Formats: sequence, C-alpha cells, structure tokens
Amino acid sequence: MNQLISYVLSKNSWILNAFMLVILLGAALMPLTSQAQDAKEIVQKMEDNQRGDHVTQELTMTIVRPSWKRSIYMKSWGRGTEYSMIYITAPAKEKGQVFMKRKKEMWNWVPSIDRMIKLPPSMMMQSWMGSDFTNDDLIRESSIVLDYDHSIVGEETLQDRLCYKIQLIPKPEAAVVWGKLILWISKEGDLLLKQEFYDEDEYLVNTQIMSDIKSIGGRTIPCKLEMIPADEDGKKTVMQIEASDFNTDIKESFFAQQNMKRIR
Amino acid sequence: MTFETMVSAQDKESNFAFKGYLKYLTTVNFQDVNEDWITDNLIHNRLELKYYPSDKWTFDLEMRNRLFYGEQVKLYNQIDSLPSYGDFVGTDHGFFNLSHNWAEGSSYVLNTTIDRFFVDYSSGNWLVRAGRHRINWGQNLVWNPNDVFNAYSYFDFDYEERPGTDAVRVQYYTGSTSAAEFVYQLGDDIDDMSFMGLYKFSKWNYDIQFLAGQVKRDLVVGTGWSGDIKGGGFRGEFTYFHDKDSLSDPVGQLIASISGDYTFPNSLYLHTSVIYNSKGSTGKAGMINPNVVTQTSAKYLTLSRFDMFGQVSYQISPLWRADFSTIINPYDGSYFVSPSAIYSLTDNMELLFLAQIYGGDAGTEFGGIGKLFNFRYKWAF
Repeated sequence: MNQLISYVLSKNSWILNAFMLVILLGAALMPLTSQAQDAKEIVQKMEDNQRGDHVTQELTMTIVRPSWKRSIYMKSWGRGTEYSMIYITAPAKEKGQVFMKRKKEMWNWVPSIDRMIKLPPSMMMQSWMGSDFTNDDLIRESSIVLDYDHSIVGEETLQDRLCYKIQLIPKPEAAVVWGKLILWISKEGDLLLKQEFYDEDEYLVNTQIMSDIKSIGGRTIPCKLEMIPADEDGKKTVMQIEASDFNTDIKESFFAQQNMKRIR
Repeated sequence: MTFETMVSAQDKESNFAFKGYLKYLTTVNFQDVNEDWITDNLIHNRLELKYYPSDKWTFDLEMRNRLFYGEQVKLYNQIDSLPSYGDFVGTDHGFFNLSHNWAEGSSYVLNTTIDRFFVDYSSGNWLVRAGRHRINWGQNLVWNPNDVFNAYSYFDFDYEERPGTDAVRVQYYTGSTSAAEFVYQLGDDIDDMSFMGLYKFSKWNYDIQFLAGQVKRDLVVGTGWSGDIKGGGFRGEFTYFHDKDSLSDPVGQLIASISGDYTFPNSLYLHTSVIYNSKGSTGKAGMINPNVVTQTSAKYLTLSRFDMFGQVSYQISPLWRADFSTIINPYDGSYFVSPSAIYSLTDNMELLFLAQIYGGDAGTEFGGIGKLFNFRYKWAF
C-alpha cells in the first residue's frame, strides 16, 4: 500500500475520528451557564454554550476492547465548533501530525513528508472504528434544539447529583438518524452526565456517560466521556481530559496552515 | 494574532525532540514459484532529532541506518555489468554527499544516509528553510507531477518519509490558507540547478496552486488542486516541461495526473487515478531501469502514455486494515497488483504483509520484474 494513502487512512482513520470527537467534546462537556426550567431551554443553553467558546485541552482517547486497548494523546485548540486544531503527541508513529478544521474545510499536515493534505468530506464520515461512535453524531450540522421536541420525563440521581431526565424526539421533517435521545442534565452545576441514543425502532444503540467531575481550567466539568455501544460487552471508547483552559482567547487567525507547521 | 501568541503554546516544551523507529523487512522474490526464490533482508533504523533554540529557529537532523543482507545483495554483486550493491545503495543523488557505507561485503551492505538536515528561520509571515529537506508540492496520493524537486517511486513502499532535496526555500504566508514560495535547488552548474516559484490559495473549497520556473534543463509551468465532488476527493496536477536549450522545438512534455477517492461510512475506501505522459509510449513501455534512471523525476513517473490506478481499502477491525491496489498499462497490457494488510500489535508496533505482483510480456512496463512478498515488523519510538 502506498504509504501516503496509509497515512491518510489506516493510521489516521481513528485519529480523524478523534479529531471530530474533540470538536464534539468541546461542546458536550460544556456546562450550562444558568438554571433553566423548561426542557427546550435547558438544551438551548447547552447549544448556546457550544458556540464561541475558546478551549485549549490535552486529551487521551482510548479504544477499549475485551482483550486489548489503543490510545492516542493529543493537544487541541478550539474556537466554537467552526475552528479546531489538533496536534498528536503520541503514539510515536503518529506524533507531530496536525489536523485543522476551518468551517467545513479540513486539512492534515504530515510533517515527515512535508505534505498538507486537504481532507475530502467523505473521509470524515467513516464510521467510528467498531462503531462505539457513529460519526453522524459528531459531524452532523443538525441542531439538538431545532430538530427535536423536548420534554422533561423525570428526575434521577446520577453520580450523587439530581438530574433532569429530558427526552428528545425528532421533529417529523428533521433529517435525523436517531429515533430518540435521552439526556440527563444535573440541576446543580448544569452538567450533561449521561446521554442515550435510540434508533428509529426505539432500540438503545449507544450510551454516553460523562463523569470525573473536576474543577479544571476555570470551570467545573466532567473530564471523562465514555461511549458504550449497547449489547457489546467490554467495548467502549474513553475520552479523558488531562488538562484544560477555557480562558485563552484563541483568535481565528490561529487556525492557519502556517501555524499547523509550528505548533508542538 | 501575533506571532508571540502563536508560539506561546510551546513555552513549556523541551528544546529537543527525538523520535525514530526500527524496522525489519524481509522480501521473497521470484519470477515463477517453481524457480529460484531470492530472499532479501533489511534492518532499518531511523533517527530524527529536532532542536528548538528559540521561537524563531529550528534545527532538524534525520538519518536512516540500513543493513541489507541476503541473496538479493549477493546476486546483484555477481552481475559484472552493474555497480556493486554498495554503490547502488550508497550513492547520494543530492548536491551534498550525505551517504556513507560503513561496511560492505559480497552479501551485505551497512549504510547511513542523512535525508533531512536543515535549519528553519521563521519570523512573522516568513519562513526560510535551508539544507536538505523535502519540498512536497504534490496534491495526488499516487502520482505527483507537481513534485518537481524530489519525486519518489510509488513502489518503494518502505521509504515512508521519501527523499529530500538540497535547497533554500522561502515561504511567505499571505493568509490562513494561502502562501507564496520560492525555491532554489543547489546544483553543480546552471543545468543542474532549479529555480521555482509557487503560489497557493484556497477558493471555492479547493486548494489551488500554480508553479513556474526552471528545473534543471527544463522550463516548467504547472498547476494543481485538491477539492471534492459530492464529498469525494478530487485532485489533479499538471506539469509542462520544455527543454530550455531547444525552445524552437514546438513541443515539450506534459505530465498530468487526476485522482478521485471516496470513503464510505463503513470505512470502505475507493480510490482511482490516471497519469498521462505526452511523450510516453503507446506500445511496450519498457521498464524504468533503476540502473539507468537512478533518480526518480516527475518526468519519469511512467514511460507509458497512460497508466491507470485503482484501490480498494477496508478497515476490518480497529487493528486490521486490508488494501488492494493495482496499476494497469492499457497499451502493453502489463500490470501491477498489490494486496496488503496492516496489523496493529501495540500502540507502537505493527506488522505489514504486502505483495507486489508484476505481470506482463518482456519489454512491457511491468513485465519481468517478478513477484515480491514482503513481511515487515515496525517498532516506533
């Protein structure tokens, strides 16, 4: 196999997904800024919080299977959901690679061969290895506020925190793959602690659990995100935030090809 | 954004970075399974050292240390009309000679080659790089007519980093995704030097570039792009060469390559590409004899008028990836077929199984090269 293609594919296919995951994570772990009563309002607050935030993070992503696991370490810089940059720090064979997203365009800088590769959209759409994550969640531009009808269906205690349990049903005209979503959002601290993804036949597909709530980089957030596929024992993918800074002002011009070659 | 804030993320980092790998590659080669099997072994170590004395300066040194041994070396050395295998491996085609054979015998060669050795100076929107480094202007993933300085052989799968070139390169970034570049490639005389300019920018969700100048004896103009059609990658490169000493000759040489690829949500990957060489043969194209054309050039990516490439790749599991690639010469009917699989042993170790099956009549582009079966272990550190 041509090594360049393998750079893009075999080595990167899950880095690409990690890249998308980090973009998602920047949003998913964002706390709500104020108390909200109405189900839609609660979700709206979360959606609002996804935008315009400047985040610098160090992350580990680990695929866990019954007999093995593989990890990737990275630094990420994000400005809302439109601008993002990721630098891979480990494993050794991937170290130094950089991914950048500017609006809908994405590039991969491969320093060992001095190559800037523009990534076509389809390359970002491949399913998450072993399908712990469906990329559709990660990349889709649809809105969990606008494309769903929301209702509070109960209250439950998760991780010693009382949570609103909110059900999201897609609107009939919405182009949404899920049949139903259930979100658990803590009343205190406004943290998304759990999310369940159901298909159109109302079967549970994935469960996402946010835990390890810590004060980090100026905010209190869950630092661990686990995506657990239903009916597959011992399989999950874990994203762990090692360090985080929400106070940096990252300008749009940070997300430049010149900077892809400089960061480390 | 100021230059200072851009690099502030580096403040706490070490001034040194070191990495590398160790690979063992064994190749079994035969023309016919019932005839002689020739084995070839390569222990291959790569070392990369970077030093960042300040925000503005970077020093980079990278070398490959290789021990070749086995029947392939011995058989090559027995052919009197060829230089020794040590000469074949140890000849440096750059301006500087940075290759050295530490030891060689009838069945082995131990060589060190420095393929990156450069200094970077960056300030504001400027980046100046001098020394041996790779200047990669390619847009495609198989054939790169725009890669005018350091073209590589697609078949040399084990050389992941690809060769570098001895040059001075000045880059000026005009925007987040646009830049102008000028390259001076060192040479012994004017016919051995290159002077090239490139301007690249992003427009309509495409990366687009134009290049012009002189590459050794040729005046060169070219263009390349990367974009997408309905989500699938669409890339192309055109380069036109014209001998500068025979400008009265109305026709130069056009090398062009276009490619498209598509990745399905289940990770199935399809990729196709064609290459066109206006001076290529429409009959039996003949092999690119590595003993005649010792250095790959963008002009010699193929000797055929057309070649076609196809690839199917699939992620079987997070640990296994399988690939099937082929190149076909539609004129002489010769072909190259390469099934392969990569297996991840640990975060830093992998196994590669890769076959290279060349087929065709005598005198065709891929005839007579044989069937190569490669097994490789790689440990990155």
